[in-house]
Amino acid sequence: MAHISAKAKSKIKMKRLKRRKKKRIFRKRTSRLTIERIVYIDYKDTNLLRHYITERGKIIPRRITGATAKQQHMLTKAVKLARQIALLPFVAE
Amino acid sequence: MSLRTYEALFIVRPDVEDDNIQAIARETENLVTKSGGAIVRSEVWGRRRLAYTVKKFSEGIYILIRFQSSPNFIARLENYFRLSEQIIRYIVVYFDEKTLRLEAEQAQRRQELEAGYGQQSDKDENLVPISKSIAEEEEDEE
Repeated sequence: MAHISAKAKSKIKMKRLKRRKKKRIFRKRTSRLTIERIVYIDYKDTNLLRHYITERGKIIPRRITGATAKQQHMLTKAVKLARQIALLPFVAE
Repeated sequence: MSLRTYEALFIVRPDVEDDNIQAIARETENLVTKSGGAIVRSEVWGRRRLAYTVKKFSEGIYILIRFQSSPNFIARLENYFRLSEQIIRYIVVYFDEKTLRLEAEQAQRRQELEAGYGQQSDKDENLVPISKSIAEEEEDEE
């Protein structure tokens, strides 16, 4: 087995880190829910829910809206209930 | 049996006359009160476009009833909705203690907001323009 010096090892590590850094720059996103400190999302509030579905009627993922896990959970439940009672579409053409 | 809070939202066929809509709302309320429940709130939203066609109707009259009752009444209520010719869609949602608390808190907060910054026009800027943020997201990927 070839011996790799500690120096070389750290060099490789740095290189890898650099590459990873270059690839993606993440920006923290804050959703409107956090800004306005919304604690409860109602399934009847279609005006609010419409911001979190696409034109097709799909639920927009958290990585795009910036909602926290808690908020996204509540959103999903609300959207699904609203769909059942025809307030929101399952699929919109 | 302890009482729980529920909310029933149902859609009445659009070809029912206005007087009958009130009658349907009263009938449902009576059903609740007769079984030992109490009405918290009762609203007729009126005619609304449906997001998709239900039983070949593209419109419907929404009625919302918030009530307290024992859990075993719900099966009977749902049965009534199912058998009714005029009611084309219904849901019954159970509100637990925590949800009720959060809802009350939210309602209070909304009131404060409306009272506090009613005139401020920059409120709309907080509405996340989703399409824009999707575009940004795509830029990031590159």
